[in-house]
Amino acid sequence: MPPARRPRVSSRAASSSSAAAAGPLGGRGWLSALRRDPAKRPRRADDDGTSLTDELLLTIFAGVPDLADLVRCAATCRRWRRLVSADAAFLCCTPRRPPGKFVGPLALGFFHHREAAAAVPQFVPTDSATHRFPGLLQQPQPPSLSTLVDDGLFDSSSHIVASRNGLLVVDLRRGKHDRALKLCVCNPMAGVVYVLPPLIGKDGLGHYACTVLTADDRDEETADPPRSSSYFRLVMLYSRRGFTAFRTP
Amino acid sequence: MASAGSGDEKAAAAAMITLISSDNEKFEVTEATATLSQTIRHMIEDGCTDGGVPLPNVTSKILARVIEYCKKHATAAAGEEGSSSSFSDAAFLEVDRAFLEELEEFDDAFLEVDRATLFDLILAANYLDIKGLLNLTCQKVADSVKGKTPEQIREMYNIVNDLTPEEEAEIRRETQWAFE
Repeated sequence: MPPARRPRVSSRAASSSSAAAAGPLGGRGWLSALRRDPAKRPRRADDDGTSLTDELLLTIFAGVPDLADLVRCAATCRRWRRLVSADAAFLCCTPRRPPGKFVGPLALGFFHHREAAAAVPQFVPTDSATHRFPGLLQQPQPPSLSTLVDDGLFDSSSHIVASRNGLLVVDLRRGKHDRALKLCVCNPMAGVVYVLPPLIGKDGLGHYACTVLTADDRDEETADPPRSSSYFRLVMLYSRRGFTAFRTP
Repeated sequence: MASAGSGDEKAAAAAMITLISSDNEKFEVTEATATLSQTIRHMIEDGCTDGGVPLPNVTSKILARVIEYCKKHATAAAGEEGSSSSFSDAAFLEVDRAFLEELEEFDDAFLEVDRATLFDLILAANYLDIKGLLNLTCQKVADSVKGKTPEQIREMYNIVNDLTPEEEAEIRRETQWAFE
């Protein structure tokens, strides 16, 4: 594994460029706490007695309709467990019905912003998360937004304005006199931060509301569903002097 | 489909290819049927099908089923092409839908096989590179695990459970949501 590079922050000024065009900032995703060097992982003989190759089994797993079914497949034997866990990213690319309900034990925790503390929003893990990700609490500092990128992108005035399906939208404005609205979308699990092009206007920006849509929100009927798990789209509603705008950058 | 060279295609469709199973049984099929297999298509293009195509990985029992599938799907494809020129749009749509329904019924009936045959069909479809058959058979297995417990899945597919009781308990604990 190449040594982890310190993430660089750059914001793009062009307001017309799409959100996806602004490159992600590599960070330290919390999933990486569990990542082990594949070469060091012990390889055991895990013959399940079936004649199918790994590739064929993966083709089958990719077609399993429900995530819960896929998890139960992984619980049948070592080989299936290895295949499902090692290629989870690939298997989850297939459009699949999400569990459809909030699955409590899968929630890792929440971000909490205490205005009075003048600190970056802190992450508060749940019990099950501390059990599954022991590394989460063993970091030198308690996890916060700054754990993702550490060169001052976030500070105590950064606040979370929306969250959905594992993504956070953070307002990066410093102080009330900042005329341009600077937002970024973060995926704490993958450690990716997308700084969106700033929204600039002579007359300043009034109130706004926004949310973020992910691949899980797409309509089944849509002709061209986004396949990538990193897909997102920001929807915002804001008022300018004299009019209200609705846009998806 | 290019309109030019349709004469050649007709001639090619009439050409017969001999497929030889692992147990030395010979099957005569039209080129249109055989070329649903990309593997055989490439062999035909390379001109190495004289004297038959030996398929050492496929038994006669499985090859007969595979050919049954290819014949049906090759006919359906040819029927669709033919109908497009001789029917009005509405009639064409009607015929098209009837074809698709018939094909679906055929596929459903085709998949009514035991586990061993299904796995052999997957292996044959993979070896012969028949995309439609591979998708069909793999999806059959994928759909069959729906709502099943790990024990039921093991039983269905003769899977040897080599997880220790501790490992099983750990999986259950960590993924309790998938077992509710």
